[in-house]
This record gives sequence, C-alpha cells and structure tokens, in this order.
Amino acid sequence: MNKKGQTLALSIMMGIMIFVVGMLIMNFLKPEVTTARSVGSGLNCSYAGNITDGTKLTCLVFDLVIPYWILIIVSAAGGAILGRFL
Amino acid sequence: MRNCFQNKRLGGQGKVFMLGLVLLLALFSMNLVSAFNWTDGTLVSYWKLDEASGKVLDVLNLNNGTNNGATPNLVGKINKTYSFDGNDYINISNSSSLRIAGSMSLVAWANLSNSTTSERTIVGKYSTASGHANYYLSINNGNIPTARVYSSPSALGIECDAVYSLTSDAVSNNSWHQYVLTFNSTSKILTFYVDGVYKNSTTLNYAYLCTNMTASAMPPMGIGSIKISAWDSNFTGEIDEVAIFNKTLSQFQIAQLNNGSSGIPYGTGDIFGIRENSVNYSSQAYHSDTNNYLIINITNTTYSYTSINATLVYNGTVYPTTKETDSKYTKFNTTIDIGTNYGIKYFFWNFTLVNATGTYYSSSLYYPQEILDIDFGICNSTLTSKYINFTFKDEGSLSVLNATIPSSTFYYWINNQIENKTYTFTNNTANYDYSFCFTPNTKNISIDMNVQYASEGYPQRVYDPNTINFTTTTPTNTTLYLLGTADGIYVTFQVVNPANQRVEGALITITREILGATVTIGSGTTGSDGTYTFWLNPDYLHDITVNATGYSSYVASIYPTQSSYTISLGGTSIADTDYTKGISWNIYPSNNYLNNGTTYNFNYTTATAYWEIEEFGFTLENENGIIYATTSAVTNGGIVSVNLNTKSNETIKMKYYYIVNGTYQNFTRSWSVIYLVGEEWSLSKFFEDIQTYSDTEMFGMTPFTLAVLSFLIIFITTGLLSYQFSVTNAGVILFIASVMIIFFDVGLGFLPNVGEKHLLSWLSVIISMALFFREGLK
Repeated sequence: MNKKGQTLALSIMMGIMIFVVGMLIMNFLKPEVTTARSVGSGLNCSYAGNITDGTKLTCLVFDLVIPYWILIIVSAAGGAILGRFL
Repeated sequence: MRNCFQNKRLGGQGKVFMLGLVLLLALFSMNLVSAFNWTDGTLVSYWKLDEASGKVLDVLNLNNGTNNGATPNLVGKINKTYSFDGNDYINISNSSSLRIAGSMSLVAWANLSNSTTSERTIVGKYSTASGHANYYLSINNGNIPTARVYSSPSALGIECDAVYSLTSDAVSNNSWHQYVLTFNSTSKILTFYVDGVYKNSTTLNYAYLCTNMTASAMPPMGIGSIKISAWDSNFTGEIDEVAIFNKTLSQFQIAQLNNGSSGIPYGTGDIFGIRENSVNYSSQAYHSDTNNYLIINITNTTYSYTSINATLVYNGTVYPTTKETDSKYTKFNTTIDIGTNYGIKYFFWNFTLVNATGTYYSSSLYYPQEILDIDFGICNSTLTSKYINFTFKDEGSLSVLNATIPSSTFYYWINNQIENKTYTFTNNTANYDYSFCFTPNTKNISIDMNVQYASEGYPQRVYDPNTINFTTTTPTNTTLYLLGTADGIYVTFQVVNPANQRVEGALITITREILGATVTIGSGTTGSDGTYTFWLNPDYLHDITVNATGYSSYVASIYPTQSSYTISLGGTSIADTDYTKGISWNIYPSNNYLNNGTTYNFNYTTATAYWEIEEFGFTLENENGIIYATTSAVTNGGIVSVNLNTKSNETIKMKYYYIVNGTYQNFTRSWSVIYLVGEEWSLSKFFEDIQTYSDTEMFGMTPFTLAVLSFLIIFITTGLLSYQFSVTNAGVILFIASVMIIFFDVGLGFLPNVGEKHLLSWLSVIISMALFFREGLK
C-alpha cells in the first residue's frame, strides 16, 4: 500500500472512530432527552393541553437534539474521511 | 333615557323595563318633591362669608377661597359678610367640582351700594379667559339683575354656542336681594329668580352648560369679580350666602331659602320646623382624644314629628347618636375618638323627620372644631410644662451622679390608648437631671417608657416600668440608681411557665430598700428567650417581682449572688397546645414526581426553636399501605434517611412524625411515580409533537396559518432550488415540490386534507411521475 493508500486507510479509521464514539455518546444523550421530555419531573411534553407555547417549542428543540447530534457526528466522520481528498 | 325611547329597535321587554324605571323614579319623586334636602349630596359648595379673617371657607371644605381686599366681618344678610368697594374680589381656584355642565343652581344674596351704569359681578365662573360663562350672576346697567350662561352640545361642555342672558326688573340700592339661577339639563330650561320669585326663563339649544372641560387651563370662580381679562367688573356693596348646587332647585325650595326675605342658612333644620337651640362641644380637641363630646339640642317648632333621629357627620364620617327627649328639647349626643386628626374639622347633624305626611330630611349648621397636636419631649423653649424629672444617684454611696441617656423611647397618649405617639431621646453628655415636658398642659398623659441610662464607671441600666399616668399637677421626680463597676454583677433572670417553656413579655421589677424607702433598681421585659439581665449589687437584699399576662405574680427576695436565676411562674398559666410552634422540617426528594424503577434517598430533617423534640422519624409505604422502610431518631432534631427504589409502584408515601411534650404529631407526604414508557425519544416523536402542538394552535397559529406558511415555504424553496441549480425541467421542479409537499403533509401534517387523507401528496406524486413519463417519451 502506497502512502496515499495509507492515508486513506487512516482517514477511514478516524472517521469510523468518530462515528462510533459519537454514537456511544448519543446513548448518554437519549435518556437525558427522555427525562427532559417526561411527565412530572420534566417538561410534560406529552400534555400538549397543559403546557405553554414556550414549553412546546422547548420540547421540539429537545426532539431535535438527537437528529442534530447524528448530523454532527456524520458530518465530523465524513469530514475526517473526505477531508483528505479535498 | 330619551334616546332609549327614541330607539325604534327597543324591544318589548326594553320598553317594559324603561316604563318600570320611570314609574320607580316617579314614586321616589313623589316622596321627595316637597322636601328641600341639600344634604342629599347636591350641595357643591357653600360660602357663608362669616369669617373675620383668613381663608374664605366653603362649609364643605372643598373650594375655599382667597380674599383680595374685601372687608370681612361686617353685619350681613345672615350673620357676617364681606364688603366690596369696586376693586375687591374673592378668588376661588378652579376645580372639577365647580365646573358644572349639567343641572345646577347658583344662589347668592347681594346688597348693591350704588346704582350702577355698568355690569357688576355678584358671583360667577367662566370657562375660558376670553369668554363663555359657565354660570354668572350680576347686576347690570340700571340695576338690572342678570343671569348668564353659555350652552354646549357635549357633556364635556365644549363647542359652546351663543350666550343666554336672563334679566329681571331693576332692584333697589342698599337693600338685600336674593338671586337664584337654575338650569335643568333634561328640559334645557334656564330660569332666573329674584327674591324667591320667578322672573324669567329660556330654553337653551343644548342640554349642557359650557365648561370647556378639555381646556388645559380654566379661570377661577369669583365673588365680587370673576377677574378675567374678558370680564373684569367689580361689585360695589355686600355679598352673602353664596352656594352652588348640582341640581335644579324648585321654586318652592327657592322660596324656602328666601324665607320671606329674611334668608336662611342653607342647611338649618328650621326649614322643616325644627330649630337648633344649642350645640355643646369643645372648640378644641387633641390628637388621640377619646372623649370628644358633641351635643345638639333641637326643638320641634312647627310640625308634629312622631319621630326625630339624627346622625353626626364628623369630618365626613357618620356616627350614631344617643337621643334624649324631654318636654322641650330633643338632645342628640355622641362621643367620638379623634384619632390622628389634626387641623380644623367640620361636623354637622343629619336629621330624619317623620310625621303623618311623610319622611323628611334636614341637617344642622356646620360647626368647626380645631384638633391640636399633643407633644411630649425634653423641655425646651416651646415645651415648658414639666411632667417628669429624672435624677441619678450612686446606689452604694447615694451620692448624686451625672448620667447619660444612650437611648430612650416614650410611647405616650391621652385618655385611652387608641392612638399613641412616639418620642425618642438620646444624650451622651452626662447631665445632672433630665426634665420632660408635655403640651397641652391641661391634659393628663400616659407614658410607656424605656430609658437606658449610664455614667462613667457605672454600667448601663434600664428603666422600663409599666405604663405610668402623669397628671397636670406637679412633675413626677424619679431618681434612677446606678451601681459602680466594682460593686455589682450581671444577673440574668429566666422566666418559664409550669411546662418549662420560656415566657416572653414578662415584666421583671427589681426593688430594694434605700434609706428606709423602697426604690426601683431596674425593670425590664423578657424577650423571646424569656430572659432579662440586670446589673445588681449582691450585698443587698432585693425584691424580685415578675408579672406576665396569664400567670400569677411572682414575688421573691434574694441576695443576687448568682449569675442566673430561673423563675417559674405558676397559677393560671395558659396551656400552650400548639405543638407545631417553633418546629421546622424539610423532606427530600423535593419533587412531587419520582421515576419508576429509580432509587432515591428519602430523608427528613427537623429543627426546633421552642419545643424539645423527643423523637422523630418516618416510614415509607406504597399506595396499598405496604411498608418498605422505617427509620427514627431519639434526638432533639436532626436528620433520618432511607434509600428506596420506586420499582413499579404508583405512589410512595412518607408518614413522618415527631414527639414533643409527650404528644405524637404525624403528617404524610406523597410522591407520584411516573413511567417513562412512551416518553422515550425517537425521530417520530418530533413529528408527533409538532402535529399535536399545531392542533393546539401553538403561538396562535391556526391550521390555515400553517397551511399558508407551508405553501410559502414550498413555493420559495422550490423557486430557490430551481433558480440556484438552473432547473427548467417541469418534472424535476414538480418533483422538488412533491418532496416538500409530502414533508409538510405526511411528516408535519400542516396541509389540510382535501377529500381523502394526504390527497395533495398523492396528486403531486402522480403529476410529477406523469411529467417524468412525458419527458421520457420525448
């Protein structure tokens, strides 16, 4: 394997590592989002009739935390791989 | 009301209601029409013009005037009057109560000294400095009495139209005449009476008088001259008994006020055949005086009243009276508390008179009473009547000392303690004596004092006796004793009740015998800890007296050789059964909800500032009463805790308790256990939430608003994408639009369902596919 091939392999490994670590971290985020949205101790997101519009907006922001996080780790992993070619 | 009747759309029920209202008003009118009742609140202001000097008083104390050169205290039509010599006038500041646009009456007596060739103002008020009389009475060229107003189409009295002037036949010089202007806002009729007789009337264009209520500045009212640039004609002669009413006086009532040309004060009960014989009261009273006697004697002169009752109206407050009747008089007396009033206060009596023809209302004249302040303090040039004098001696050697008063507070009052005043005094320069004075020196005074006194080499002591009553006769000389630093010790007395609880507010008085006389060494009141500390000489026998509300007095004689003593009060102690007094506690978790399957630390912390906690603790159980944990502690407060997993219970209850004075006190705290099933995050949750929230019209966004917003976003996005990437193919553009339509329709649910569910999405997909096929076939 030439030097370019070695660099590509390293980039792919870095990308995979970023992706795996990011997904592991996501496992910590998910219960926190669940708790934040929950009834009683959280925002009561399921009780649409009993919460304010501001709380509803906060619930939607929390709903999007995980998708945002996935976008971040995919972008970071993809960037790590493709960065070597750009 | 007229408008209501004119309203053709008024339904049958409305007409019946209005008819009922009119009948009701008619019934009231029938009862009151014959009674002249100025105490019904329609008297706006009344200037008797009886003052010898100073302000020109309105009996209602609302619109007092300022005299500008008129000579007061002359014999008038009724009592005293002012004389105006052609350049004098009385100025009454503009006020909202004097700006009258509706029904009103203006009454005055005037005595013109010389025949006049120009207009002479009796009384009036203009709405602007350039003209427009609100109401105005004068005597014009040739001694012609004149009444003048402007009318207005608005209740605000604006947009004033033409002037309306009513005149009478000429009046004679040097004789008193009564002038009355009345206006009825309903009929729009302006009427002029002279000497109680109708003279002239006219109907105004509009139902209101001109006040120019919206103007930024309005001229004052004037007696003798209105003193405005547009109209500045001064009266020559005398004017008396000027009054304004905000109702239309009837001719009968005006004749009553004329009283056969003798006149009558507007308010004397003699109008209804009762006469004030005497009124007894003190012309001066004092702050916090509780014995202010006010008595009126009246005689039933003409009518056969079967019932006469009265109320006293003092400074606007109504008081009941006590009635005493004998063969000649009916006497009403009242005792009132002055409270914190100051200054001149006015009062009168309202009478309710009943005879065979009906019920009538009248009132007495107004009477003034001056309320003076009471003042207590260290004697000086203004406070000269000595009531207390303090001197100081060494308790051991009995030599005279100079002492300081680092702090002292005196609460003082006269009569009963309804209202008291406070005086504080500090002097850090040692003096031989301190004299305190009080004014008025005709009154006894009650003082609750706390005097801290000290001298160099002598620790501070406190003189804090019970309330002492000081009389006007001779000053009370009090010797306060100090004890040298080397001669005494600090002794703390703690006062407790039979339950061994601290007694707050107990008065401890220490006395001992000096040269055959019993003198007070010190006195003080226990604080919240039940203690008070004295500086005492352990070599002498002291008498200790303790008094506290609800307990028997405690008396003992001791040589105070110890640093502390506990005094247990007995007898009629008030049982303290409030076992929560001074007890505080905290419970954790502080949330009201717990998650299922989660371990929490449950703890219970107690503290006490009053009772001694003998034991405390708690048990944890679920909704079925199954006990999971129990803990307790036998200490005077502290913390107990237990870790517990909520498992799948619905409720966790903490039954906590404490024991004080052998009494078990228990309470319950509950937590709801919540389940996180269905709350876990998923991407679909976002779409569920946004659909649910849009159904609740979050931020006021209705389904229509969301649909419009969606359309705009689809339209703009599709346009931007096709422009950015130069897409001109209809199939591709529609494909982009379809994707977005599906996102907003299926994903977010923002698009309305037209016929079938997601029909818009299906249609966009079908059309875009058709276009693709068409492009392919090309």
